[in-house]
Amino acid sequence: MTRRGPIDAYLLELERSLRVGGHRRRRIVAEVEDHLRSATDGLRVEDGGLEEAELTAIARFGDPGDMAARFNRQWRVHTRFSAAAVLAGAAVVFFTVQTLMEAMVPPAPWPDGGAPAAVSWQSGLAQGCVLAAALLGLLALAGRRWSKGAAGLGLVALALAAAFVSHYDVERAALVAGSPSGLELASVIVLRAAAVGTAGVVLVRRLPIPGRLLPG
Amino acid sequence: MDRIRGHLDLLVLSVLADGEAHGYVLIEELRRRSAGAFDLPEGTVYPALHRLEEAGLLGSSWSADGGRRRRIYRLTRRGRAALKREREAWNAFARAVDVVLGSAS
Repeated sequence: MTRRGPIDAYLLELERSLRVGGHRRRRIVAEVEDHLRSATDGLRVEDGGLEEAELTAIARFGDPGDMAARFNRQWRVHTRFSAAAVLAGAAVVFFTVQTLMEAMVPPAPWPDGGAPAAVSWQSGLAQGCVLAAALLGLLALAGRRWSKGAAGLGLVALALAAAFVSHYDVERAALVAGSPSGLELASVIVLRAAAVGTAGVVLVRRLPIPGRLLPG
Repeated sequence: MDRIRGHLDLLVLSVLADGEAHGYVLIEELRRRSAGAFDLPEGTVYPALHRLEEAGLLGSSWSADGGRRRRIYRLTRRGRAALKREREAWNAFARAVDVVLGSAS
């Protein structure tokens, strides 16, 4: 049976107290474990007893709650800026793709002076979603614990904007002569989806998730 | 001990200027060089190491040693420049304090 000593209990408490993402959490716990076991090895050479050496190493290292709090404070600020930056990055790609497409294939005017109501509402909704994404980006920047959630919702808003704009573009291409070809439209739709999708993956996998614990 | 905390970044950079090290060795070296005067809670050094790495002053990588994974830290070029700058600032400050204290005695 594997021995579970004071160091194992310490690491478990540290891991539970950390409010940083999985990647960073695993790194912190691994570093602390290496430190405590190295210190224990050194103390055992001097005194001999394993349990006592582990307790001394822990006492020298400091309280797990204090240690976690230091990391939590540090990464909260980091998360705030990173979450807002991820959302801003996705928005920049989104609008760059849009601008490039309009520069390469200037939009032809709608016949009879304007888009039919059955199509134009999608454009309005897309604009609303972009506005919501911008506001959520500001909230992510201003926030603390909710910054990542706000950036995530901002990405959802941006994804909805991409869906509405893409649908609008496809319907427009079917109704208006001189619109982008199917291949051009497909490329733009894929690029928009890739921008939002990549930002989502970065947000979930690379940035800390407040309150999320590793299994076991 | 609070006095050390304000200068912990400089002390960490200074120790790593002599070669790469993992956290435990770095803390032992800090204690040895200060003849035990810098006996701060060892856990306080790790957030500093992570912060300095995020600032681009340190680099780090995993290495395996006797079946144990350990994170090895090293000074980057920016870290070396920061250390030079901070060391000069500290020396100027220390000289000024010495002069003031000396004149008071």
